[in-house]
Amino acid sequence: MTRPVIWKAPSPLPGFSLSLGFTVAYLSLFVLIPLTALAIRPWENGLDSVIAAVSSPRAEAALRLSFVASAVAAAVNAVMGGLLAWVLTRYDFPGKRLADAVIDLPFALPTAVAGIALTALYAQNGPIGGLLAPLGVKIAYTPVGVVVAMIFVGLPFVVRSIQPVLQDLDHEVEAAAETLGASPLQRATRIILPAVLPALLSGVGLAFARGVGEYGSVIFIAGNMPLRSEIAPLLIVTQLEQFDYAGAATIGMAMLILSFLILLGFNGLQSLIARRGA
Amino acid sequence: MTLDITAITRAYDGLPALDDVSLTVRDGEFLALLGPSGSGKTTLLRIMAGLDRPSAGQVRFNGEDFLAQSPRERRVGMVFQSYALFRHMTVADNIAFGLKVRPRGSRPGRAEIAERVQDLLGLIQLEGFGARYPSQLSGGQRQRVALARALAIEPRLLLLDEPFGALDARVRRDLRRWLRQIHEQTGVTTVLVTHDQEEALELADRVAILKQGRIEQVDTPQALYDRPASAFVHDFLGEGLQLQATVSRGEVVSNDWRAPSDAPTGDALLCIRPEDLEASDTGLDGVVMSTLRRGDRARVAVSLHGRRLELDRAVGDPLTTLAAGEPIRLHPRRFHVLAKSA
Amino acid sequence: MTAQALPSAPTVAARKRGLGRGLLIGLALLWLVLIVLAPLGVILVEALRKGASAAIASLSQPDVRAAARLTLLTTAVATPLNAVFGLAAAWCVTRFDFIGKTLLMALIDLPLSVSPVISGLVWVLLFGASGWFAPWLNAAGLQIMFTPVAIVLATILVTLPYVARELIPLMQQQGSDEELAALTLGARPSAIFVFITLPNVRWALLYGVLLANARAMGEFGAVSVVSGHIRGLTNTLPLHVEILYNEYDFVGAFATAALLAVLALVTLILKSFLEHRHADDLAARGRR
Repeated sequence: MTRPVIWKAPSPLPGFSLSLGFTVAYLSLFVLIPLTALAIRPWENGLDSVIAAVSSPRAEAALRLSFVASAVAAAVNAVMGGLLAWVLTRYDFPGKRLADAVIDLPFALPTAVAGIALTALYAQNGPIGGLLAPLGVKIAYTPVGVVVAMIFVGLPFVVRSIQPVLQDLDHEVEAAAETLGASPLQRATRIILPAVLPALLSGVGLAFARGVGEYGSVIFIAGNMPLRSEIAPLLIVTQLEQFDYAGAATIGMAMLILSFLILLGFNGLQSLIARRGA
Repeated sequence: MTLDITAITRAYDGLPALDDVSLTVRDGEFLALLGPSGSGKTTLLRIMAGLDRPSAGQVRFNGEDFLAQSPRERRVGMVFQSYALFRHMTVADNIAFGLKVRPRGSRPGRAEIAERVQDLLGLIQLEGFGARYPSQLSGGQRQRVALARALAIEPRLLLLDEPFGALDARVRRDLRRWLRQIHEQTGVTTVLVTHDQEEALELADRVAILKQGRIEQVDTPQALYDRPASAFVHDFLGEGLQLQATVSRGEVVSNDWRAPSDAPTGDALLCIRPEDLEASDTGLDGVVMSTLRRGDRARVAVSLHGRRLELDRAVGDPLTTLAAGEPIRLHPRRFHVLAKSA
Repeated sequence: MTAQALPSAPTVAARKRGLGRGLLIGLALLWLVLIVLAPLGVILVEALRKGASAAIASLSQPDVRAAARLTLLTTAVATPLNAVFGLAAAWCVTRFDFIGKTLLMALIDLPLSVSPVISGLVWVLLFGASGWFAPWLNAAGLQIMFTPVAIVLATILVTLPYVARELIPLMQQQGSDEELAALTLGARPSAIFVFITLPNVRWALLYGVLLANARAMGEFGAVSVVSGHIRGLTNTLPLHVEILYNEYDFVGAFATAALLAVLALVTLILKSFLEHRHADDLAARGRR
């Protein structure tokens, strides 16, 4: 008698069919079917139109802006977020609990709210933009503004990824390094940084993914000029408004695939480092 | 109300956790399932509880087909190794739980439930602890609550899965004694899983020894000790020595020592308990390794036929006067010639 | 951290260390103020630019009130649905072993890694003018796109993972021992779920609902794509902020933004409270 394929381990607990059924139905309704539409729509006019849509100068510029700006923002967050995490886990100072809670603000604040606030801040006549205007530095309505907005949204991801790891670091290892003569800088780069690196990469990856897809925080401060300061999500919206569903879906699909590939690379890098260090 | 287990097999991905196991637990008996980890004893217990299903075989309780019943229908009380107390309920609510979830028709009234809870708290000697939460109790106390909770539903069968494993030695010993008392008071048929032979021998009326999914022997503790069915049982219970030997022409031979034996011809293991060895001119060749005196007892470590054994002797015993490195001959008053496993 | 200090030289080193520390703390806090707190401050300043009464007046506008109602309605539908989903998903994923579990969990996480605009786009592709279901909808005379229904659908998609992601690690960590014990004690499936499972996860559930709620109220990108942007009808609060801003009604825009910012701060306070008081009952995800 052939053994039946066992796709589920037997369990005395009740509710499997009900919970799985509901979960699968819900996911199909809200994730799978919409996702399938996104995957299929770009091809309705054939492969050529897909290639054309993705490689048009406007699309390339938009994708480039979204991805490059997010990468820059993620890099900045890596450094400053690392500093923030360090200061919050290692030092005590008045207002520390408040500072810690405030870090989550970009998570909680609606993106449109953040968008207009950042624009007001960095516009030529704004508090910060006004300070930099005489120096000839423009932030709002330029790609730099896009980067600033992405820094804002990505900050919590990096800090919250690093904090628990820093918290759990074995102080004895550092003490041993100190007794062996390592300077603070050496301890930071040779002992602490490698230990924190996987979490750092993870946080940076999350911040990057978030920045690429960000819309509300960015469209107010970006110039939204095609080919110059237009982010990819805005391009999607524009094409929808022109009823170019296939075009919009194509850009969306391109964004997804590119993000997926980059994150895959990140995860690979992470496992590589984790394996070596563990 | 006997529990009849017949030819139970349970396989995971082709590897058998239980292989053709048959066992009968008598009404009111305290049976221990004893064996090393991986021997299948917990799997067998879980099958009895209904938390696992065998791939083959039958389980009948009081004539009923147990396998056709869900855990709820079986009315089996189970005590888990991790206690599994409901962390968000008080001790009293934990104990009362099995009564409170009964269907409306058979549910006792609130007053009756409260009274039962008080009785059980008295039984486990935790009166006054009803309003406490599990996190406020020690490990031993939690385990007692777990037992009371299982007993509250008046189970036909009580199953305990290494209940004292996570506790320290002193608490373990106290709880063992107390569990035996409870069993005598309630008379519930009880099956206990343990890897601790001392625990099994102290608590159980009968002990079933399991090895790699099969039952080696089922018998009273004394019978297991006096008449082990295999070298595994001999080794598992109490201290002992197993030497390679051969049986031929009615004699068992190990190195240059021989003695009459009616064991079957062929290779076997010569199994000897340390207390059955005495110094003599004829016997197994060995060498004294060390002598450790503690109070009025001494531990003499010897090497017999290359195998190490510790003998426990009174300080006056001539054996304890020998120096390390001295050769010695030890004659077994009693020995078993056994196969590796049953 | 500081060793027993001998006089002279080590004290200088200690002072240098203190200076370094102070510098780092100062830098970090400066960054925090610049990046996170300054925007908050600007909202308040701009909202009150023409005085408090002007700000309050703009908030009492019927359009703002309608937007608030729609925001609340959307949240009131999306959050409970996703909470039920989170419980169901956590139950089947953490209590059973089956093929496809990893795929299931990846699908649950998907809305988090996707641009909100895409989360809105997919609904247009399904229900828009030339969407998949357009023929049927037209035949039935129904419209989904540019109505509150579409807004609710987009919000559900965007906030789908939040409750599940809080419950799954916690229920995994807690294990099923208590539920198995309840089973042996004779409890029915519903009793097990109500008396054992739910109480054990209540704080994580609350936390997840809090996060989902905050996201639902503040969602912009996905909702912007599927909404008709019709004032008073298909605008949520965040969308209304955009409209006011584009009309140069800065006081109105920032006043509404301030309202949303206050809600965000309340969320942060509740979040912080849950994290500190009930840390053990939330998943071990590095919460202090």
